[in-house]
Amino acid sequence: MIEIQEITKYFDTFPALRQVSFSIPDGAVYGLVGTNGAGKTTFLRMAAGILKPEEGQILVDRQPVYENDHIKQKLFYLPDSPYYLFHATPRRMAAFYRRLYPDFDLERCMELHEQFRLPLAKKLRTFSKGMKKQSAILCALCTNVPYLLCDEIFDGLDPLVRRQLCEILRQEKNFRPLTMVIASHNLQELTEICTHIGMLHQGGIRMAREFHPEEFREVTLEDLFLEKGGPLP
Amino acid sequence: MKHSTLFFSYLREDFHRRFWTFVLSFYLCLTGVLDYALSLHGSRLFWGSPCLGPENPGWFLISGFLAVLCAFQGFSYFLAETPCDFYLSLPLNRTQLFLAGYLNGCVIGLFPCILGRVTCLFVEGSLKDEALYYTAAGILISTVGFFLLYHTALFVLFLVGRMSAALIGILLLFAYGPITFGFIFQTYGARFFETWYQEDWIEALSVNASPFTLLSSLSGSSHAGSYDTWKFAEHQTAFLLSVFLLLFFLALSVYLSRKRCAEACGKILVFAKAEFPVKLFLTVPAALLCGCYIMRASLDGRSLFWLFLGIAGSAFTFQGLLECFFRFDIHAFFHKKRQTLCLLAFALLIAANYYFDWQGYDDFLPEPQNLTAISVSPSGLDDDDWQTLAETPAGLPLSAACKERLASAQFTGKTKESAWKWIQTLREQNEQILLSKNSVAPIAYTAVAYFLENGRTCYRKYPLYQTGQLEEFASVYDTDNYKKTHLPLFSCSSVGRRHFVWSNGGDSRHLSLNEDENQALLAAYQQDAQKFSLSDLKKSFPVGTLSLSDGNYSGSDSVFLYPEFTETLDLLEAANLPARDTLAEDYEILSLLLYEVQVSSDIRQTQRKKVLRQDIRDPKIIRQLQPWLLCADFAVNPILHPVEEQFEITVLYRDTDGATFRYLPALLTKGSPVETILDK
Repeated sequence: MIEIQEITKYFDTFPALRQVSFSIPDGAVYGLVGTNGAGKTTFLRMAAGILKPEEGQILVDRQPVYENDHIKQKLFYLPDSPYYLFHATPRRMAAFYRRLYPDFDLERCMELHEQFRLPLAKKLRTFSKGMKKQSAILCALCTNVPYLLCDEIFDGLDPLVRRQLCEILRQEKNFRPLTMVIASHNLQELTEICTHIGMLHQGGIRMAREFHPEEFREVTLEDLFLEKGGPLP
Repeated sequence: MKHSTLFFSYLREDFHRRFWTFVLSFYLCLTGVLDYALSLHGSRLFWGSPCLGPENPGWFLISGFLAVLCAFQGFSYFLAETPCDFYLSLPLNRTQLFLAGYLNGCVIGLFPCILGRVTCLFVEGSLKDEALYYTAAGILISTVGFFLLYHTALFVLFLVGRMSAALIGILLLFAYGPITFGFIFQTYGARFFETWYQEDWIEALSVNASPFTLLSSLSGSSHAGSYDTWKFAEHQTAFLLSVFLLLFFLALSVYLSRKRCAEACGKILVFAKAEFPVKLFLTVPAALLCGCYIMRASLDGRSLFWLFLGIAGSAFTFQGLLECFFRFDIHAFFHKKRQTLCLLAFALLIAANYYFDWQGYDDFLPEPQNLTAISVSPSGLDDDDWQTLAETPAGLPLSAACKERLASAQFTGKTKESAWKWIQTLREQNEQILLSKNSVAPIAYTAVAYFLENGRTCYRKYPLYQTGQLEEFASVYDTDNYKKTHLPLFSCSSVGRRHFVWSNGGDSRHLSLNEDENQALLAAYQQDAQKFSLSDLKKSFPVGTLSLSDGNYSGSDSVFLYPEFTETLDLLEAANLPARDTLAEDYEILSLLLYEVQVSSDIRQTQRKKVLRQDIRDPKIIRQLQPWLLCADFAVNPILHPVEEQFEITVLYRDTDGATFRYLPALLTKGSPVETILDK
């Protein structure tokens, strides 16, 4: 379980998050939506133990995550633009993760790369943006960590790949205990996969609740976004 | 997974990531070995130094370059957001991240260097004690140098958040000492250092305040010769200081690496608390330098108003520019007014500290009644080492030999009073010269030791600007007490088993005299020297030298012979020596090779280069120049008889026997027609 307890984060004098509190239950696929600059990425970076909140704390399995390498073994942060080692191939990155994440499933990682037709021996720098992202998502899934923090994972992917990935994520969730936080603007994908929804706006949490697709037969998530997030410019 | 296992896994992965640097490191060290191997056969690949020890500049540069490269390659991920997030999200704590990068950097940068030096030892072929000593010393100094530069680079990397700032920071740190202490403070304290004898203090500060120059001085690579001469005893202080600094920078780096936050990427300075110290280190010297230049540009060259205005304007400008640089915002120029005031106050405080040096002259002169003795030793009077002074603008610090001379020549009684009066006059004259608008360069210096009644000894070093400043020195020079300490043969009681050696600068001859003749020559010299006065010295040039030898020639005890030494010269002529012949009058000159001396100076050293201007064989031109020719060894009185320092001549002359041709280095006395001849 991820508990967010009144966290506040400033960048110089700009408040990125103010007194945000909510919790993400185990096994949830938490869709985090919000306007630009609402603090979604900042929240994920704090949840991954990269940034330290000025006030409050984020607890993962009841332990603070910042500078806690025991907890960091249980989570994987997938940023908007995934980083890969200099001149690395997907095979090299997989080997790298295998050393740092003890449950990394190398065979499955190879299989998934082949399934998505991603060449394992080709340098990642020669890949397209979407291919790099696919490779990073597949590696992240194969780490087999219980918490996956994903920032805009569907951004830059073609519809076919997007659908395939959604399917794999769904299978993964059924197959093992997995809690996912997905920050995204793509509301369509979120409605297909999310069990919970949270909305950040101007550094504050506007909504945090379970997500039932049947509630949104008449009201779309976009309508909710416009209603809770206030008028967009 | 256990944390230690995880750490070692990451260590291996990190090394794997940086393997290309390891290959590059090996390649560089291979070129070092190759260069050394070639240098043993007289050729070169790059530096061509055949030194096994720390003085080899090749190894110094290789280890320095690798240290900076390893630091950047290991920790530059802190300077960009994406890689920084990647590494900080890994299941490792900060200590493990730092340690893995640090240890791999050590292996990558250090291991090939050590291996390369050991290979050089085998290439050299002899495994004797000396070779082993120099190799071990080389490895030790390379290691210290590597760690010092590595830790310095790490400190800068953890302090800043941008690659450009890191590069600028490292360059600034490497050049800070020579620029700030060697240039700015020496400019401000120029007059202070005119009289302060321990001038090497500022030199030491300028060298030691920069890791690069400190290492260069520690390894001795800046003046590497063709064989190893490095001795640990001579570099003990620099070694200890380097070790202290490397530990200090390591502690700072570890602290900063733990405190550094991820959102610092992209900022110029990561820690807001570091802003003011950085500004202080950069703005104050810059303001002092600009203030000094603006003051010099004023009408009288020493206006305090312009100095203040220059310092204030520069402090404000540089503070504003740094603020803009830190914030990446031009509007920040006028921010932090309180900091500007603090920086200005600090710069003014330093400038005010030198106020007396700008506006006055050293007033330290103890009253004669407070002195038990006084001692003076002017350079440039019978002084064959005076040229080294001319090459160093502010003069040299007192050498141990000079201090020894001063200690042995303690004047008391009337000589003390004469010396005191001369120094008082000298001080007054110097004050007038220095405070006048036309600044002139000193010709030579006089070292002074005041032996105070309380047992202390105070040293001073006064510049000499003109011949007239020696007028009152006659009362000291003409005393036996002065001559005893400055003329080695004057106080000699017996020749003993030694024999005399006479030289005219080009030819040296050992005199075969019996004991009585030796004693007679010594007595004649002492009588002549006693009669010889400063007014005689003003008129004459040396015609030869006389020294005592015990079989191995040593020139340290030699004394100059002047035409006024009639009894001595008569005895030498009786021994068939052309004792009165001079280059200017008596020798037949066949050719003159005229060289122009080109002097170039930088912050650290002055270099002299000789360029051949003309090969003069025309007897008419030779006759024109001959009266001004002076054997280079006899140009020992630059205050009384200045020479044309920009020219050096090699003279080919026929010796007095008529059959021998000799080469002789010579100089031209001031006023020679050399410029007119060259123009033609």
